[in-house]
Amino acid sequence: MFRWFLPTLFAVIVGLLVLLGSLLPIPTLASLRADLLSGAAVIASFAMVLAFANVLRVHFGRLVAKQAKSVHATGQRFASLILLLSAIASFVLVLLQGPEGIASQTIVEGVLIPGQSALLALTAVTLVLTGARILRTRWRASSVLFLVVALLVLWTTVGIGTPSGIGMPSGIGTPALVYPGILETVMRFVNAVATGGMRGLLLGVALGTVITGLRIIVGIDRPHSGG
Amino acid sequence: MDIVGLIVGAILTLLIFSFLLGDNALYRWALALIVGAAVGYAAAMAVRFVAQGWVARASVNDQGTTTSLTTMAPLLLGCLLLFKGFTSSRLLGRLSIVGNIPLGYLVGAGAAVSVTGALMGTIFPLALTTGNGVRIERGLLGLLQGVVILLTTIVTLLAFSTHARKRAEADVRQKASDRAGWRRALRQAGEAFVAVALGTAFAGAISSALTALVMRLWQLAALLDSVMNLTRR
Amino acid sequence: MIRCPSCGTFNHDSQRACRSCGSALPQTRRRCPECGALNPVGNLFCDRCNTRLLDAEDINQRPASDSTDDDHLSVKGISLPTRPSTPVSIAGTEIGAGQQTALPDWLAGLVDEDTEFELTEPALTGQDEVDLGQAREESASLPHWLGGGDASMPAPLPDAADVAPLPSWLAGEAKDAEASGAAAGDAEPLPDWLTDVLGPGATADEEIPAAQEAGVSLDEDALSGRLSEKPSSEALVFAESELPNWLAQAQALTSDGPGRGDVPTDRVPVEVMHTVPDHTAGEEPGESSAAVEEEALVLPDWLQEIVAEGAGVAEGAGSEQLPDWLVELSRSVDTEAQGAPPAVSASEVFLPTEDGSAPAPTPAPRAQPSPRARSSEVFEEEAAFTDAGELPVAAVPGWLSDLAPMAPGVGTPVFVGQPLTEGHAPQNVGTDALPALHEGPEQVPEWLRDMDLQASQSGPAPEPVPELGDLARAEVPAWLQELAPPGTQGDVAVEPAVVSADMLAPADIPEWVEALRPEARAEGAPPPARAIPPTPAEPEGPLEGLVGVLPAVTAVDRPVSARSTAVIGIPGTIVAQAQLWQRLLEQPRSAERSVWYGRPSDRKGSGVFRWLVSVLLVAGLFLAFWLIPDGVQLARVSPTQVAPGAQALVEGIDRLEPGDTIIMAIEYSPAYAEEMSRIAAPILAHLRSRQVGVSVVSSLPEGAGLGYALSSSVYATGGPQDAVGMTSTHTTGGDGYLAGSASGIAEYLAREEAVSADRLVVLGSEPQRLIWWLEQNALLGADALPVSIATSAGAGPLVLPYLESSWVEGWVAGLPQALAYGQIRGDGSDGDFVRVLDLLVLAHWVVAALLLVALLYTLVYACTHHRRKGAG
Repeated sequence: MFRWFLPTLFAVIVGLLVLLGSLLPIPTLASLRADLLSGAAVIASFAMVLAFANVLRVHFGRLVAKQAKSVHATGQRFASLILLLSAIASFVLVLLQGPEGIASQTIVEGVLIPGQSALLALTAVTLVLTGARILRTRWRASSVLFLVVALLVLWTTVGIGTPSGIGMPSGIGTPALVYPGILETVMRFVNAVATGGMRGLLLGVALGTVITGLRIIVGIDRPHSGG
Repeated sequence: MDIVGLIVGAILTLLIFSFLLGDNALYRWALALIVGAAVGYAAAMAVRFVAQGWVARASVNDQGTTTSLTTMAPLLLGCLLLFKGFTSSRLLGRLSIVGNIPLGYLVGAGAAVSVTGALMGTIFPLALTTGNGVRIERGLLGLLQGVVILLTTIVTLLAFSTHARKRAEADVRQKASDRAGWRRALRQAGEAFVAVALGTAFAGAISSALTALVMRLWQLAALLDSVMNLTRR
Repeated sequence: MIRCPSCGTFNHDSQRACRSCGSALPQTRRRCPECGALNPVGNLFCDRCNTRLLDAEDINQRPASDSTDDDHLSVKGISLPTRPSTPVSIAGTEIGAGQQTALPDWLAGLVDEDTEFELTEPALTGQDEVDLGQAREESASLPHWLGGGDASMPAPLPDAADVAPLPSWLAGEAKDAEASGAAAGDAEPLPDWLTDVLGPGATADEEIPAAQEAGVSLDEDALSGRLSEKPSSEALVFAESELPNWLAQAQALTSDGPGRGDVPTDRVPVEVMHTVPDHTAGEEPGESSAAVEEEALVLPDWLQEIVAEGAGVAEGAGSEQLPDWLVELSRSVDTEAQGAPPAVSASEVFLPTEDGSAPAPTPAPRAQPSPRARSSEVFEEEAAFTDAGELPVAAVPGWLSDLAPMAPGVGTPVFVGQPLTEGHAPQNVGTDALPALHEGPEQVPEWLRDMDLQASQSGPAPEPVPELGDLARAEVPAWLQELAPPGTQGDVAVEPAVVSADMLAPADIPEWVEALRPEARAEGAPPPARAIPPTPAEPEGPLEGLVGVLPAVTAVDRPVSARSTAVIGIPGTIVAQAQLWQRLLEQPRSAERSVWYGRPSDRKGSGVFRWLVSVLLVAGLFLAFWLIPDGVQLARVSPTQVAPGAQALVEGIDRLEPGDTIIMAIEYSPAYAEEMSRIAAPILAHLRSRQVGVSVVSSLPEGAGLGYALSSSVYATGGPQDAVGMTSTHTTGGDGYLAGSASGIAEYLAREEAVSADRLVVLGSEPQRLIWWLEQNALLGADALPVSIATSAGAGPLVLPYLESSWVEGWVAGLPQALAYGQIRGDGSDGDFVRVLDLLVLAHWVVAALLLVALLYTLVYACTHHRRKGAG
């Protein structure tokens, strides 16, 4: 009953009501849809709290678990301790002050933004290494095309090779500068193909989303019940 | 506060960049600090959302109560969802399956939203836009561009729709036709177009990462410059 | 992973068809329907959940290795049949598919289930001298009890499990008794003949289990000199003092041989253990002991019967006649021998001497060495019997002379492999007792018995066997004479046996036996070039074209004409896999492969390249901050080329009136905060100039905080609370946080306050969240808000189709387009912004150069190095 029947029943009913409320211009359905969606938002918040509690439980367990006395284990426990302390501290501070509080702003501007930006900056090195290895691991025409297009886009992103002489020191010439329209035409074609390819992908994804959503609403797929 | 934030940010940046020298404990500790702060921040915002929403609903309720169905039902379902965290417990582990009910609620609502959004927000607009791109009013170059976009969209969609078909049920005749020249050409063309699209996306990702790198180094340089200026004084 | 035979794509083990081309894939795993675990194809039950994988009707398709029926020859491999399909008549015994049990036990016990029988075309015609080496080769086809087996081929070895049940004293139960603490005196008494070997005080639990367990690790030297110049690797000897008289005499006779060593005293004929005759199984110890005491050798009944019948076989009864060795056997049937080997394997038959004296040196029963060595030993030891000084009057080889019936009082010979039926206790048989041979027909191997039967059926009645005394000295066949040890050949006065054809009953010798008849060869002449059937080259498969890879196995009891068409239950999956391998190996090397498996040299190069990238990007940019002069501007953008959507965005915001409200959705993570703050700055400045109210919302928890940070950085008018026009939604959701992702966005856009806004501006770096806003806004239909987007450089290409649609009024993606937006509005260039852009240009140069170098290096490497075709 609780494992799949009731959850599926909820999924089907809620899904149908939300779907009909979106498509049919009936005010009652629309307001019901709005209420159901706000309820979903509340439940999603509980899910966020549950995830937070799980993180605390896991790292607290690592902290108190009996581990071998080694440098690595000690470092790992210290990292768990730092995570616990920072999580609890930010939770308390933000809960009390809100996002506009000084402490919240300090957390955002002093910890979250620099830290996550630095992690993103690291990916620049990783992406370059990946691009350099892509041909070694997958020697195909599509890989060569992938890399060549990436080079062209990088070259023209900030106008390095455009006819207006962007970024090129004097004395260094490129074929594009000799005939300015070539590079522009090439990039236009590349952009067109890229746009078309991306549209095809997005349309495919959207079609898949529709089919999957309908299967869930009808009750064929039951991801909530593990089936 | 600015200088403090700068110093803390600079230290964190250096700790993260130490990963370039190899995985080390300092990098892990910095990562733990960032993750902990993000998780705590998100949980606090979620709690505030629920609490503020409960109060707000009560305030707009005609009866002025906080126990109406529309207010209490989501809270009850949310509490049921919390039972999902007791899967490892002997006593409460059996109750974890009751958390499937709010999960079903979430999944159903999310599926309906996704279906309508994909239909009305992606499929129709993109199809219309692709068709509208092939117009003479846009000039020869624009028309050519529109045709190219239309063809690449169709080819990409067909290539991946045939590729995603279940091969297990394909019979011999179907497999023979798959190896037919035009199907293979279609698939290869689709792969080429996707390679172009992903190549631009790859370049964009590198560009974003380089921007973050430049900004981080800019901040470090700015801090260093400030410190040098302070020392000169 | 399974490689598709058609396109070469690697697929998961559980896939049935290629995910690339759809071709059927050979199954290497079977997925359990219950738990989904992958199991080997041969599994009947799942390894994880024990669910039955195969239905009853599919059991026959299980691999042959699952068969536990030891009585049948198990299939080893796919292409090597081990059983003839058509019944093969060997001495009347049909051996065909599934009829392995037709073989007599004594012969079946000699057959190893791993032995692969393959008959070759008969190449021997006529009689000829055979040198030792050829004899070894040819003897591979003879039964082991006839001295068959070759050093170059495996002879069937009896499996201990296949022979008749051993007596407990022999089977090692005494060992168990010992382990359980049984007293030595309580152990089952050994047979006398074995007691003689071990000594009076020996018991079964002392020696036999140890020796049996030892697996025949015996002294090589003890037997090496006696047998041949080439000592066998394994030999079994008796303690001299414990040997029976006949054996002791035999050993004494051969003690002068080269390389002989002391005989260890603690050895037990393990071979005896393996090859105990069936007819002695269960035999009362007293019987054999009594027989041993009498030290008389009697011809076994089965052999006596043969001799008796063979003597009377008419000539010309058939194309098959008795071999010479068997003829000799009949002549010497009345010779007496002294003693008998207490336990002799079926492959070793000893003939007593005529006068009952010690027979020719008889090798002690030995353990089972390698079949080839063993057979060579037999020949070698038989050659030792041709010593003229020790030969009986008939000059019969020792082993052959031992077959003569013993004089009364002589110990009972014990022959391996022969069931001992009632009334057939080995008994002293003299020349008068030949008819008694017929009393135990079941002693005779069927195939041998049927030889006589067929002969008697097809030909005239056999004539009575002449008295042995009437026979001249037996003619030692030349091929047997060759086996004599050096120094003994010339001493043999061989007189041609006077045997008329009509004295013999035509034996129904199978053709394959006949084909193995040694060819006659003049003395001293070199051995003829044997028309040994060449081993054919492998016609197909991985071993195509190779010769002699597989051992040239000749079956003991398979005729030449046998063709193995036995139905071997090989599952189709294994056949398919083998076919796949064959197909892959058959493909020419020039076949194109789309996947390149070659990799340039690895670790060091990768590490160097990584260091290079890190130094150039991090250190180089850091240094460039100070190295680039202020007046130099590397980045110059052309707004119309670089930012096609910027103009529409400017125009859209310009249409806003003071007091209008816009919804600003913060949909980027803190990682993109610095980039987005630079991108959104001109837009926010534009909005501020229009004096519109901004309502900040976000589906991200950090969004509200990022919004405050953005406003503080843009407006810089103190704290966030002083930001002009920047407010947060407080009606529901409090801090502007929209929980629930797409559901939260949909719920927010359904509110009245959202619908009443004038524009929606989405600042995002996550494509999916951007798409959510666009989709949910589109659902509003006529009430849909005009949307403007500012996104990061990374998300721009992914949402480009949406940006170019009619739903979006203006967009910018990346720092260059944001700069272009400012240029369009005529804003003065921000010095820091331009500086950042210059560094960004430099970074792009470096990255593009690195990727170009990597591309060129890979191309050069691919052209200069060998490209693997991915055959494996």
